[in-house]
Amino acid sequence: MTTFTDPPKAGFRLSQLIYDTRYRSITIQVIAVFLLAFGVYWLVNNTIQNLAALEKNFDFGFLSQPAGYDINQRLVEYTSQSTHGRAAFVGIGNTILIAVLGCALATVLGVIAGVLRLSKNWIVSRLMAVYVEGFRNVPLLLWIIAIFALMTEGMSQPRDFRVGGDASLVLFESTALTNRGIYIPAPAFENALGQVSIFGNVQWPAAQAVSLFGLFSLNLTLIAFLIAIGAGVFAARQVGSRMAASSTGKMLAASIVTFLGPMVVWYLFMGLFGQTSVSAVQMTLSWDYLLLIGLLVVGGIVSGMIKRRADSIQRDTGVRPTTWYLRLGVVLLPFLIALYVLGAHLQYPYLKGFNFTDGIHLRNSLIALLLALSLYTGAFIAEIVRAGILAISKGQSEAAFALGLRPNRTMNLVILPQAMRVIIPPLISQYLNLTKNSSLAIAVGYMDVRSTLGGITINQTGRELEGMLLLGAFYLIVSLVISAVMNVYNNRTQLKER
Amino acid sequence: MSDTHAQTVSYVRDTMLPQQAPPVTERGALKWVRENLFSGWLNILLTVVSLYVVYLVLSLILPWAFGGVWNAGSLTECREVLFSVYKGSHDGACWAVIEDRWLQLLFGFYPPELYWRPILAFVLLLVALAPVLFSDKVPGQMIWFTLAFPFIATWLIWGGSFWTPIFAAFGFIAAVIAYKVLIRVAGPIVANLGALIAALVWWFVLMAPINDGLHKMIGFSRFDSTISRLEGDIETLPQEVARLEAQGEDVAAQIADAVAAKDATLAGMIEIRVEEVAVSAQISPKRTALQQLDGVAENLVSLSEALAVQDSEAASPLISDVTSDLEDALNDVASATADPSEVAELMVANAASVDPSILADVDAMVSKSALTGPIEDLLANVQEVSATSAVADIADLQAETGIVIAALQTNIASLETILEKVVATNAAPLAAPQAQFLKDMKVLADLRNDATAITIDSFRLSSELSDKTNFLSQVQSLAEREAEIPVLEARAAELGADLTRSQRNMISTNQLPDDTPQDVTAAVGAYLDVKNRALGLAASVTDTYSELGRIGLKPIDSRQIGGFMLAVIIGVAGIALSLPLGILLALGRQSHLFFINSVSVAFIEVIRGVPLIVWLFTASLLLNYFLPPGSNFDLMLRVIIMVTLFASAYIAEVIRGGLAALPTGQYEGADSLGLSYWQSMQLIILPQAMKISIPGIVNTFIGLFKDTVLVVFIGLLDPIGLTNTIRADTDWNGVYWELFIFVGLLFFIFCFSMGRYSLHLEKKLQREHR
Repeated sequence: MTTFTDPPKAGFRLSQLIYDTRYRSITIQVIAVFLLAFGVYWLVNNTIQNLAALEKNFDFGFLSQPAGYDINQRLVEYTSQSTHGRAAFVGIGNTILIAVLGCALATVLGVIAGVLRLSKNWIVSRLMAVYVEGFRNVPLLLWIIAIFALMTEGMSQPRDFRVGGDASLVLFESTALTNRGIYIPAPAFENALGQVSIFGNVQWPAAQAVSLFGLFSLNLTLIAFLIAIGAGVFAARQVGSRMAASSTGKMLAASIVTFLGPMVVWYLFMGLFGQTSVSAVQMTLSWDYLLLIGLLVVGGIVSGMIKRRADSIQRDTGVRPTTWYLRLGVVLLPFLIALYVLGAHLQYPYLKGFNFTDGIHLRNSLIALLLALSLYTGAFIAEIVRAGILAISKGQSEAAFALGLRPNRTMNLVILPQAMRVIIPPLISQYLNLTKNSSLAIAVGYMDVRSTLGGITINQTGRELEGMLLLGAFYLIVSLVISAVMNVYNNRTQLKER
Repeated sequence: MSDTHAQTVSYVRDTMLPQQAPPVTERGALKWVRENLFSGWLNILLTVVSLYVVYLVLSLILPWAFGGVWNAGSLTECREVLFSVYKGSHDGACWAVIEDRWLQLLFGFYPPELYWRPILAFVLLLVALAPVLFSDKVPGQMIWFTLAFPFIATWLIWGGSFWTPIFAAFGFIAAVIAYKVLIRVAGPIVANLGALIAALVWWFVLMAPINDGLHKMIGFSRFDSTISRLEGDIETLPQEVARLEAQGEDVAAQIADAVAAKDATLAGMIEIRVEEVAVSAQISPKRTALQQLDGVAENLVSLSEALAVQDSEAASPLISDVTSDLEDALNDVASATADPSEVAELMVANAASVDPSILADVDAMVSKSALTGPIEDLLANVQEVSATSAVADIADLQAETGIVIAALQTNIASLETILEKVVATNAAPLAAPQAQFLKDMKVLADLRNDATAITIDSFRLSSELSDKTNFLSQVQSLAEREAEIPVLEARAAELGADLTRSQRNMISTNQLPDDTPQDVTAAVGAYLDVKNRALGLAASVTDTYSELGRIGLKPIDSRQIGGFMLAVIIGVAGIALSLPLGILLALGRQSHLFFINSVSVAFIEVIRGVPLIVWLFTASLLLNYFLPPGSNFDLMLRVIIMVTLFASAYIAEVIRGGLAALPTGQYEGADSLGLSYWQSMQLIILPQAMKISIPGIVNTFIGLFKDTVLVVFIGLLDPIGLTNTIRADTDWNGVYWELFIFVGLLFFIFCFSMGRYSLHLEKKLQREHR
């Protein structure tokens, strides 16, 4: 005789959707999906109506039209006859240039200021405190325009550099500080190897339709796009497995890599929006620099091999062979020989007519933006570095001394690795901020991507919606890439506990 | 044996020696300096370098800042004052621009007679913040004032009828009432939904008609009295304006007189200083010539080297350099300077009494030909050398050059002594005009203040007059316009009878498909035209009624708000509105519900990944696309919406940090008590998480407050935008640093004190958590 009975199997009642925790979450999410879908529909519908009322459409074709404006600072060839897409590409290059230079300079300034702020020297630490507080508490924009005013109002005019004028070149007669910018010597090669063109004359197939037995037609571009999406999904899975962050972060990164990557590829190479050709990314590189960089890289690899060999000898015999001259030699010697063979020398700027010629011209806008961004971000980095060093307890260095480690090895092997773990994540987020703040270039007329794609192009073509979307997508991709790198680093340096 | 040993010792000290003072180097300030500033070679180097840097910066800034000019009407006048008190035009700050424009930098173009409104709002803001920032020192009931503050502040700044903010606040009260009623009959979900619906219905359906109705009612009752009041005002105001204008002309004449007097004093000073100018004019061309001769000497050295190895290729450009340098130097000395005897004549002619010792000095100087002669010889010799290319001749040339340089140096030195003496002699006669000049400037400044006050008054009165005239005509035509509305509506209904519903809802004929027949397009166009006219008329009638029936403050347009006030409004509104949104996003990001979680993450990452400036451009360029056709609202409100969304993503991350910092036990404890999700959040989790997050929230606020200056790029007048406006005025064209320093200091004071508060809070919280 059994007393056990199954619990009464009540049928599913509608009220369970609200009161039963098993179903409630589904109810809430379904409602949320509907609300969101409605919101999106509302926005899109409004946009469609408004666009129709203005007789506009949603079309990226403007990217392949001639831009018709000049860009005063460009890393790749560009003329006013180039396309808007090319102009955007030049702007992206300028943004990345200012971001990279700014991050490097800010790190140097920040580390120095952070370390000096901890100095026992009262005057030095006060001075650094004044620097940090002064820059952190005043808007960045004010610093940018103040430094720009200093550059344009406070420097001498090029004509003052003539014989008898009251200005002269500095740094061993090599650099001219003028109110039109700074002229520094440029590296030049007597026996230059010439240029190599990338994507120069390649013709990619435009969208073509292939008819299958007359039944239906297959779009080759569509197939290429599907392949690109497949590659994107594969890449996203690779990225996701490396990141090991929260599942949602992974999902977000994956979806962005999946969709934006192929979109960019498709636009650039397949002529998605009109007759866009690859000219948007076409560029020429100098064989000289490629050779020099290649030599350095190969030298580094060989040096690494020597180190590994030395390591294995040390493991086997206990004696480490002296290799520093070998390792230095394989890196430097070919490099120096190549420099000599290429006839490398510096080309000094000199006054010709009303302006300087030769040398590299760093414009006021670049200098002001760079200095302001790096001083401002440097103040934040100084605080991060200070916090990182203070975060390491004194017991760590005492324990290292007790083990008999000398001070510099204590620093390198014990303190720094731990401090870096504290410093790096906020440091990267400062790099992110610097990159985003570089859009303040608008204040000094530096031609970054916001000024080209998000400024002049929008004003000339009236394509606000498309232009702002592309601009936002660019910044978003940069941010996500940097934070993905940060996550990879974080995971590698995280304390492995249990 | 120890005891016997003790007896053998003849003397044992039984008291401690008195403590001696440490050596001089080990106590007091000297010890501190030794330990902190000069403890090692690196430290000594750092100290010396930083002391030098401090000296350099202060010696540059302090004389400039403290020797600045406060009384002046323009940059030119600033420079005149600096000239009159013996300073170069750039050796003193022109603080007069701040004196002239600081109110504008603070308030933008807000009407000056209404400044009390934003000031009162700001004071109330501090009161409202007290219960949030110093919850331990302020009674808890104050929080009700904090909740009411947004409505009070909005009303104070923008004006309007006093019941409008009460109506807006009533939406929340309606929500609470609906919740309280529904929670008794139905579950919490229904009650929450009911509260939401009640608030939305009140705001979007009921509020506007009730508000308009109230205005209309009061407007009706005041109709006749308003007309008679306006007519009375319109009669009296022109007299007032005329009186003020007459006053203004009077003051303008006085100002013109004062300017003339000031200019006369200045001219007198310039006359006294004319000898100084004459003597300095002798010095600078000679200095240039000296530099060129130095160049010649250097080139001659290279030339002799080149000739020694018979390198004619290198020699010929050197010779041409030397020749051109010598020609320049000769030109400088010969044509740009005068003979000493001429200088002496000039000085005698220009000054009433010249110190005889100065004249003696002038006489002692060599004549101009004594300087130009050797240079001419040198030039001739160089040309000879270029023909012969003999090394031996070069040595002669070098020696000659040395002699010429020495002569020039002596000449310059004696001129400098003379200049010093002239300046010293001029000091006494200049003292009286200097004092007179400064007095003139003070008088001028006072007069200008009077003029500004009169201009403001007369501007206010004349704009009041035009407003009232406009308003009177509107009120008088009110009945007529009201009667036209139904006529237009009837006509629209008639025209729209044959049109489809979607055609009637269009805002422009552009929306019709391209292949629409001509007559349909025309019909739709006619219908839309009449409909829009009816709508516009109805809106203008409502406007007239709301002005007629207003009991409260004068309405202010958003475009008039600017300066620091704008930064504070955007910053405070952004942070206050973004807090609730940020909390929701943070909870969403922590949520286990997949969809809600991913939407929150996507929102936060997208917002944070794109710079604020792009979002602001989106607000100014694109927000109109996303909103229903025809809706167009205030740019400032759009900016506040965008800034709120932006800040909410950052706040969400800060609060997420606070949520993550709570031990899991808190969540589990709440669950084990059987609390629902919202109960546990509201009672257990959020109070603790928010407390941890306050420093982060304050830091976000500092960042947001600094970022408010970016609105300058979309055309709002923030402090930095106003510095451009001020520079656009011809009076202040060229003023940079004074304005930057003023704006920077304002921001610094705000942000630094907020930063200190956040540090104080961090310390306080740290102790509690240990």
